[in-house]
Amino acid sequence: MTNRPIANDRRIVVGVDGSTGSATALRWAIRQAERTGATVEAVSTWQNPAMSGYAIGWAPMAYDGDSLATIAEKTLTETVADVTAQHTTSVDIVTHVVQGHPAEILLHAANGADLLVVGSRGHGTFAGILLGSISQHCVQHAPCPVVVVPQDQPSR
Amino acid sequence: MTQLRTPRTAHIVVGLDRAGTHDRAVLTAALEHARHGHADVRVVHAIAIDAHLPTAPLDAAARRRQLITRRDHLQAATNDLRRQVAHLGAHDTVHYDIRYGDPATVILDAAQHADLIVVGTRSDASHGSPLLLGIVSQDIAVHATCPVLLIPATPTSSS
Repeated sequence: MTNRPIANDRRIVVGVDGSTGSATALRWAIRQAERTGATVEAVSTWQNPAMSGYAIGWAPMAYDGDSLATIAEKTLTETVADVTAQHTTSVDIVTHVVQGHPAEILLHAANGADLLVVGSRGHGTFAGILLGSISQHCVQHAPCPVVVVPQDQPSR
Repeated sequence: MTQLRTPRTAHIVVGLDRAGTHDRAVLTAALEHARHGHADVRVVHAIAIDAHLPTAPLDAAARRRQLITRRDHLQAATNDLRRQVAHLGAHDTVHYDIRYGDPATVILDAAQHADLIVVGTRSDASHGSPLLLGIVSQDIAVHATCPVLLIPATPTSSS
């Protein structure tokens, strides 16, 4: 038998899209991680709209994949900074910026995790996972328990 | 002196809308969260009104039989819950509440002051509509004022 550090085994994955709802979700994830000794993985995703733009005859001039990734990264960093500024924590927070469909990315990241945490209302990205038409599919295919955090969650 | 924020015990509401093997996974998750958050747990077992009573008019004898059936189901559900919670070794900290009504409405109503709602999700077609539990849990997730923990049914959780 091997002695693996427990902290590395326990992960709480949270989707962050820059919305107030996702900041609330991150806050909840951090508080939960404090109780269970888990690491928080804050995940932000981006998609290249140029891919769909071609299909309707758009020129992808206004979009640059690198800059979208940079925006996602900046949003994620700022959200983590805002939340940890309000609530000092000793929890390890890891950030990931991944290109792809939000539902697919989050479900992939949640593989083997303790929890997947999402806000109930986002910028139409993570929220769509549970409230939109994709929701049934995603909840039923989630590899771990999912927590939906409402936006107007009073601090408790 | 007035204390603006008094320490309070956190409340976890577990919503069950059908007796099933997956309930154990949902209860286990709720009790684990209760342990970490020092919360008390209230199990709300919602039984849809039309689950055991047909809507068609009945004669008195048939009506009586239906009500007896309904009472037996209620009793069976209570016993099943007690057994499952006792098996999980947490019977002292768990309150039971079995109610007839629309499952999402009943569970949301019970969770008005809760800090967390725990419900199961599954796509098990053998339990009737494959979407029913998904819709109940989605209704709860959309309308709840507190975080909702959705426990998926997995092949291992039904053992």
